[in-house]
Amino acid sequence: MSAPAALEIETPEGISFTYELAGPVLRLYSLLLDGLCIYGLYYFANRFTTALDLIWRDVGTAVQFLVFFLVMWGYYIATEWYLQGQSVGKKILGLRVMDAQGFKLRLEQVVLRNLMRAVDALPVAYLLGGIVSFFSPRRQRLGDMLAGTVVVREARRARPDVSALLGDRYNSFLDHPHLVYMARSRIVPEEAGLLLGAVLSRDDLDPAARLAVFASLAAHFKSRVPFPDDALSDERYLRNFADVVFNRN
Amino acid sequence: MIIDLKRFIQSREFDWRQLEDFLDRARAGGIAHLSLKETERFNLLYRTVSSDLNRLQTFSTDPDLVSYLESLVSRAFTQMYQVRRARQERGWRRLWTGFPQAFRRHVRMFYLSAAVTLAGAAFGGLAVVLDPPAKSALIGFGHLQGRPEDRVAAEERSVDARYPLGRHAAFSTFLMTHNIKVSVFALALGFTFGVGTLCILFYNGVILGAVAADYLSAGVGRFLLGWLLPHGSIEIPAILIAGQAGFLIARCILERDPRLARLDRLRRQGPDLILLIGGICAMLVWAGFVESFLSQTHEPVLTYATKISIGVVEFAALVSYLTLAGRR
Repeated sequence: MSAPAALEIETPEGISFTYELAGPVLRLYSLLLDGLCIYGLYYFANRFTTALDLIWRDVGTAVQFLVFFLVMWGYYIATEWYLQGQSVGKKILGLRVMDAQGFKLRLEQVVLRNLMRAVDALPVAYLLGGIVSFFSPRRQRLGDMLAGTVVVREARRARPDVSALLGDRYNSFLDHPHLVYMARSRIVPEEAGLLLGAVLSRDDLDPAARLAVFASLAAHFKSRVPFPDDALSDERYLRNFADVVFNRN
Repeated sequence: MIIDLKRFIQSREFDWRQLEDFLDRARAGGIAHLSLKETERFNLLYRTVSSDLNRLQTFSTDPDLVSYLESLVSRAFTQMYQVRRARQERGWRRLWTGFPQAFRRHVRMFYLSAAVTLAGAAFGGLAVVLDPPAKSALIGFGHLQGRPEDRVAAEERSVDARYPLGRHAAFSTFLMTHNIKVSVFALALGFTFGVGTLCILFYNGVILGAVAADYLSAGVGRFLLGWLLPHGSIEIPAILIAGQAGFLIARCILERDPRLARLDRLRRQGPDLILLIGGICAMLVWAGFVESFLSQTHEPVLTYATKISIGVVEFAALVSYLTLAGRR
């Protein structure tokens, strides 16, 4: 299998970013969720048309044919178009259909990729589409190839809060302006990124790992700029350090 | 150099939030609903936030902030740029002229589709003539299994309201939805290098040829034409055009062209395929109505001459439309 599970886009402004492509397994889960939605729609449509059938027998049958047809072919087209590339299952799992070049998704693309489900679903349970997307470099099923679309995992992130590096606590490092200056001039971007990443994501670490990571980082940063630590914990030492590097008030 | 992150965030935060707000408000039509002033603002925001991202990618290494801005810029990029085609008309008008234009652009694939169906019809017809018992194997439909003369007599006897309005509605809806499904399938099976499309067309041809031969040899050719022509003059070409679209996909896959990758060739045909599908659906909706409301009514209620004339007029109108509409 040719590997890159990411789609790289470069804008005309020279900015490049990557999208993580959704693999067949995640897409299968989304398919199951959508299957539930379709079943629910069928169920309610069936109750409605059965009731209509009692009043006007043959028109009820006609509406039933029509509604089942529209649900079968229209569910994905309508949801992916109106929810901007997301069916209900995709929305729940954070997946999105997008143009393979990063452009705005067009209606004709949505229609084509969904009509092609007729083949991708063969012989059962989207086996053909699954196999094709597994071997495709862009994880595309046949419908995606024809429509020029990909399915990506949506990376929608909240803005990180740098001002909360220190909390409300007093930073004793600021009492040593020459060391603060040294820290700002000596630290290279890779070290700064490591420091900020560790401090911002500290609550995501498990307690033992948190201690070990902060101990080893603190040892490194103490060797780079020896602030008097006054028996500060390793974590507090690094939070103070990050504060003097990133919050230049 | 490490930029002053806190000050940077404080000074730029307002713009980021505003861009995020624009993006959250973007609907299915994208940012088309924005006013001119808002669109200008959106454009400005997209460019300044892109520049922020550029700065951060160069000077800062805060991965969370970079990915936050990346997600903003990527979402905005999707809204800002789209493939614009020349002369893009909207909706029905585009379908009205675009469908016959797309049909003519790929007319060779239509000829292939027609040739396969004719080959199937010849096979089916010969099989029934040379080996009459083969009819039951070739024609799957129960009401066509009996002797044509018996069917004609039965149909002409039942002049009462055999199909009340509701039944017509149910029958026509069934026909439309079923035929559209078959057509989409014939088109989609183009991905099997055209083999699936070829099989569907050939099988369709076999049934058509077998039924025609059966009725013609029984001497009820007028009934056959009166029954088939009103809806068949539209329905059969629609299936052939579905086959045309299937073969178009197959050609993109099979063709060797070093200038263009296979996927690019496929993608380029996307708009034409959509036009063909749109046209096919419209034709099949019409054919479904006609088949249910007109084709099943026979002499003495409606003379065969009238029905045949209607079919011929429809076919002539279709041919004129496909060959002339949208010409410049």
